[in-house]
Amino acid sequence: MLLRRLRPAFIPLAFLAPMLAVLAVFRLWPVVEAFRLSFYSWNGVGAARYVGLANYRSLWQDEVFRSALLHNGIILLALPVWVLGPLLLAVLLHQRVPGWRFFRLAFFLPAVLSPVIIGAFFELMLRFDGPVNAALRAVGLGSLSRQWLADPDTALPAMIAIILWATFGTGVLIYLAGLATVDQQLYDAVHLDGANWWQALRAVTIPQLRPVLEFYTVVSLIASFAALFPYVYTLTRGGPGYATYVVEYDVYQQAFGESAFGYGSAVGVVLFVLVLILVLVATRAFRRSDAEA
Amino acid sequence: MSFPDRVPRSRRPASGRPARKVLPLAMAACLLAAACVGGDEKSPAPAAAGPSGGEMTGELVVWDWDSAQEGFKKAFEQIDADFVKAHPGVTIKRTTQPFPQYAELMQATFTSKEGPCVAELLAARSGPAVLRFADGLVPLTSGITPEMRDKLNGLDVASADFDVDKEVYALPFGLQPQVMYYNKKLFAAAGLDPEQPPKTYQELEAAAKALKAKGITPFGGGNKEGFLSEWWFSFLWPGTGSIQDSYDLAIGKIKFTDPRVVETVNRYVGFIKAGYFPPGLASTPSQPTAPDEFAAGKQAMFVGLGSGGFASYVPFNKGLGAENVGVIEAVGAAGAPQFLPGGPASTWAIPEYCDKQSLAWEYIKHITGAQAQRILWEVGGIMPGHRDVQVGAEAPPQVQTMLADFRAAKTLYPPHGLWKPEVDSDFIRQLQLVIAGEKSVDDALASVQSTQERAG
Repeated sequence: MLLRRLRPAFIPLAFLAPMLAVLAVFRLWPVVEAFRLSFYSWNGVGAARYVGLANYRSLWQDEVFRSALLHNGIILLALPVWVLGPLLLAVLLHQRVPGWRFFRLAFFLPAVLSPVIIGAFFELMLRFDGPVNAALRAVGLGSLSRQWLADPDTALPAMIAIILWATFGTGVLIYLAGLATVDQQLYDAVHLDGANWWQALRAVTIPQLRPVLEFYTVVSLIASFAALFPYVYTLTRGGPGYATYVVEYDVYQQAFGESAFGYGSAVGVVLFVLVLILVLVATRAFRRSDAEA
Repeated sequence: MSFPDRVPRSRRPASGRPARKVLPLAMAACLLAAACVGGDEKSPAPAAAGPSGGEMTGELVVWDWDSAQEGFKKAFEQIDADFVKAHPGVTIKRTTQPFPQYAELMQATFTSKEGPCVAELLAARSGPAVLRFADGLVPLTSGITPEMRDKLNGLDVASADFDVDKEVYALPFGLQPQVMYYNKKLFAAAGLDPEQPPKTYQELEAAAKALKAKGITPFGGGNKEGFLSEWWFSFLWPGTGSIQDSYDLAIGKIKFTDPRVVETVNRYVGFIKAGYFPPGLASTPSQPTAPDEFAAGKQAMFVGLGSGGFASYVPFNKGLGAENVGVIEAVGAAGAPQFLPGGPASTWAIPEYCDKQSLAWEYIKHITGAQAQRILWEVGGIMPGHRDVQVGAEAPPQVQTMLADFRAAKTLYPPHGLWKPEVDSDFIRQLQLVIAGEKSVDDALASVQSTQERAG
C-alpha cells in the first residue's frame, strides 16, 4: 500500500538521489560531525577527549567570540542596504536609464569575480600608499587618507562596503529576473492614475517582487553570517586586533590557527543555530506579513 | 650465557681427563665471557635505532615550503640525488607547499592520515611547528646519537618541553638567526660610525634619533600581519631575559605582565610612537614590500633573518651591496645581551601515518647531516646548523660574523616561536591595537596573559 503510494515519487527521487547523496556527504555529515566534535577537545592530531559542554561554557566567557558576534550584528545592520540597494539599481536598469548596458555590466562584474580576487584587489587599493589614498592626496584631500584596513575605526566599515559592492551584482541579477515577470499593464495602470516613480515602486514593484525580496533577504541574512570568510581572510585576517573578527572567521581560526577543533566546532554549531533562528524569525515575519496583505 | 654451557658436553672435563687439554679452552671461554659482559669501554655502544618499519625502496614523498626559493630547490636537487644514489630503488617526490597555508595542509594530512612521509616543520610551537603536531609525529628519540646532540643546533626546540632528554620529534637543520641589518651608508650620513653599530637599547635609540634628525627613516618593516611585533620582541628580549626566562615565559612560569616583558614591548612601541618606522607600518605587508624597501635603501635598519632568500643578507646585499650591509645580532639592556636569538631554519619530521618510516628516518638523517648542510650553504645560502660545516672565506662578511658569533654564544630559537599558537596570535593582535592607539601596552599584555592562562 505504502509502496504503491510512493511509486510516483520513485522516478523523481531517482533523479535527485545523486545530488542528495552529495549533499548528505558534503553538507549533512560535516554538520553532524561538527555537532559531535563540539563536545570534545581535539587538536586535530591526537585522540579526541570528551569534555561535555565545556566548549560551550568557554564560548560564553570568550571575549573574542562576543566581539565577533557584535561585528556580525553590525554587518546585519547593513542588511537593508544589502537587500534594497540592488532592488533600486535593478529597477533603474529595468527602466533602461541612459547607459543602462554599461551599468548592468559594471554592477554585475563583481559577482563573477572570486571573493578572494576582490579581497586581494581592495587590500592593495586601500593600503596607506595605495591608489585610493594617492587619489585623495592628488585632489587635496590628503587629510582623509588613512590606513583603511589597519585602523580599527575604519576597517570594519571598509570591509562592509567592499562586501556590499561585491554582492550587489547578484542581487541585481535576481531582481532583474523578477522584474521581467511583472506585468507591464500594472505600471500602465498606476501611471494612468497619476502615480510617480516612487509610488509605482511602492504600489507595483515591491508587492509584485515580494517573493523575490523575501528570498533575497533570507539569502543575504545567511550570507552576512556565513559567506564573509574570503573577504575577512584576504582583507584583514580579522584584524587589526579583532576589529573585523567575525564568527565565521573564528571557526577557521580556532580549528586551523589554534588547533582547537572541538572548540571551533562549538563556534560553528552556535553560528548554525543563530542563523537558523534568524532565518526562521524572518520567514515567519514574511508569512505573517503576506497573510495580512 | 653461562660459562659451563658454552663448553660442549663431549669436552667437559670428566674425572681422569688431562686438565691441560681443557685449560686453553677454559681460558678462551673466559675471555669470550669477559668480552660479552665487559665494561662500557670495551663493548661498542648499541647502534641508535630510530623509527623503523616499511620498505626501504619506492617513492618517498617529502613536503616543504622552502623549495619555493630557487637556492633551496637547487640544493635539494643535489641532496636528494645523493640520497637516491646511496639508496637504489628509491625515488624522492618533493612537493612544495605554500607557507601561508602550510599549517592547514599539514593539519589535513593528520586528520586524513594521508600525506608526506617526511615533512618540513618549523621548530617549537608557533606556526606550522613540530611541537604543535607532536601527537601525530613519530618520536625520533631512540635514534638520537650523542653526535647529533653535539653537532645539531636546535634539538631542544624539536623536543617535548624543550628538553632533549625527553621525546625528540624532528631533526633540525640550518641556522636561522634573528638579527637587525643596518645600512652603513645611511649610518655614515647620519654621523654614526658604520663599523660600531649599537650594542644596547640606549645606543639603538640614540642611533634612531640621529637618523631621524637627518630625515632618514630609522627602521623598516611592515606589520599588516603582525609578524613585525613578534620579530622585534624576539630581537629585543635577550637584552632583558635569559634563555631560561624565555622557556619560563613560554610555559607560563613568567607572566606576560612581568615588568621585563612590559619593558621590552614598551621599547618597541616607543620606537613606533617616536615615528622611527615608516608611515603606513600597520598596513604594509611583511613581505615582500617591507624588506624590498629596506633593500632599496629607504630605511636604515631592519629586523630580519640570517638565512634564506627572504628578509636576509641575500636580497639586502643584492640591493645595497655586501660592503654596505651590517648586522646587529642583539642589543643588551645595559651590557651584553643574555643570548642571541636564533635557531634552526626548520626541522624535518616523520608523520605517524608514514608507511616507510625506516626510509624516512634514513632520509632525515641524510638531509640534516654535514654533507647535506654543506650543500645547502654552498648552493642554497642557508647557514649550516651542523657544527662541522664551515663557510669559506668567500662567504659574505655578515654570514661569517653571524656564524662565528652564533656558534660561540648562547643561543635560543626566537622566543616568540616557543609560545603556543593561540598566545602568539593574541600577542600580535593585541600589539596591532596598541600600535593603532586603541590599547595600552599594559592592557594588551594582560589580555595575552589571560589567553596564556586559558590555553593552559
